[in-house]
Amino acid sequence: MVIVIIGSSIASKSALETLLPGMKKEDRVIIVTRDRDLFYSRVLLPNYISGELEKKDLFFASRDLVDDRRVSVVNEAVLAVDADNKELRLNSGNTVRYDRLIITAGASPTGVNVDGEHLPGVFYLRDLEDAEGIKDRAKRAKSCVVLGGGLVALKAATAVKKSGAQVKLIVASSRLLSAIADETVSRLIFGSLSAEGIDIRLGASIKQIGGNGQGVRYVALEDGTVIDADMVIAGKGVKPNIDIVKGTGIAVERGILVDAGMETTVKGVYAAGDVAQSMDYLNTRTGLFTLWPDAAQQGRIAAGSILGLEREYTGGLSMNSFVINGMPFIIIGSIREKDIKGCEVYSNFDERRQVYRKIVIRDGKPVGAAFAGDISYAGMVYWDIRAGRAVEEPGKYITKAGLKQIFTSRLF
Amino acid sequence: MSGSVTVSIQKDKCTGCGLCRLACSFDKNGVFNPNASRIWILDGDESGFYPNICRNCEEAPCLDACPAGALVRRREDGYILLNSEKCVGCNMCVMVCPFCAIGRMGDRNFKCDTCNHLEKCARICPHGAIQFEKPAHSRANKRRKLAGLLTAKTGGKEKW
Repeated sequence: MVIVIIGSSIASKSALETLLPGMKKEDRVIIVTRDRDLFYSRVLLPNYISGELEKKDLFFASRDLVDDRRVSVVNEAVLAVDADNKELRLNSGNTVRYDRLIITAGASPTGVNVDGEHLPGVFYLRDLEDAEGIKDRAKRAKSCVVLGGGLVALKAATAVKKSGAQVKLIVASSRLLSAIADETVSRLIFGSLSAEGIDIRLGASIKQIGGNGQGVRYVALEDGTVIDADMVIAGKGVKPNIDIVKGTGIAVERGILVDAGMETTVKGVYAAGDVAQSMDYLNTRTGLFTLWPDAAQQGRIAAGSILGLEREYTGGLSMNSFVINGMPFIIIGSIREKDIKGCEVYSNFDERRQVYRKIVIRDGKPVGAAFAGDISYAGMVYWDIRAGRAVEEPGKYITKAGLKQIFTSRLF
Repeated sequence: MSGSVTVSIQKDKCTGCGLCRLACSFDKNGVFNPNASRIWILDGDESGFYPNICRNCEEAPCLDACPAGALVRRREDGYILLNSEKCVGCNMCVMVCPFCAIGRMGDRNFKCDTCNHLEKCARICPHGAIQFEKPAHSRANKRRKLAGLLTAKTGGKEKW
């Protein structure tokens, strides 16, 4: 049996790791990837740009994993999947035949879609090559404009700031991290970033990127403001790389639709990671869960399905953990005002300590939580949300002493 | 994970004296500072004390959560080790640990590494409340029961 895996990030690695011990001697794995380097962590690219990490630190798994005579690597981009003939067509015109296919093709940045978006000095931040370009440009740049208010944009902004350039963050939304954060979290992040010396403009739309053959010179906003800039980083979100399955029987919506075993609508073809659209943990709707832990689990389950192991994905749950200017943040599930209408909400903001906690309860069960400044017992709350464990004393979820009490009572 | 050594907590024996935390912080950081300890003591009031430490879960959510490759399970003994050289302190592991047994100091996360089988906390405990041992079947069940309780799992298929 020939098992082909498209991609070489975490979903690919965990699939491979699962396959190797369970495969028959004559089985083969072919990894087809456009990545020059296998198994590097895209999550860490901002730390590479800032100089905190070197390139060698970016690898979350050793390349030794593919040093197995049953495994081969094809360093090429996939043009299309031909599900009828069970083969991949590659950019070079070559084809790769498969018996089973795991698609972990990831996602690509959304374009800025304005004049000047192709000027030298305009970057996205997705791949190592992007990060290398940014790192190199940032050494010489005086002023960098970062577009977007999501995590990638925020991390890119802090990373470039550390390398010495002036950084302006231009955010279309009226607040930071508007896709996942509530108002208090947004405000705290705003404070943390400002304290790092990042200039933030909310509710500002970009009209044009201007420059010449040497590259970017300025960014013009819709309101007429012109900002000098010798580099631009666009962090306007990502979209799953689903183009390669167009015209096949593999069903897509925003991502490739998968069942609990990560199988697509075509038998023998699986998808995992950022490219997959899977069921959420409440079993109510499908979504894109572009999260590291989910990609790891999904890759393992896809591989398990191929090996005939009975495993089921427990469903995606939106969650994020990040640190800005030394302040830790954790957001689990739904905490945005517009997502939690009709829910019971308990929150507590300690201005002096700069500590914020929030718990959102729907029908007696926790569905969202936020921690800022102090993330103690976040793990317990995460599992309470995942398990839908009834909340008895909600007030306890928003103080450290209360959380400790709940946790302690479970141990005895 | 046959042949692996596991942590067993005898909560009835813990007096909350805190010697384990001092031994741990001294071994790991060269200071007697409970805040640097990788073992925590939870005060259950009338129920007594509970020394809480990483259990090296059989299906450990932290292993899936780390985007830096800093958390790995050592093949020989099943222990999950956090490589502080690779850790970037993102707290992803903290967010998913049902035992709340991963901490953070400076810009790194940290957890128990068993002092490379020297288990300073267990050795210093005058009451035998912490034991590292080959899992007896009953204890393994007890451990699974607690893990199940904290993650509210009822058993079955894929887990984390």
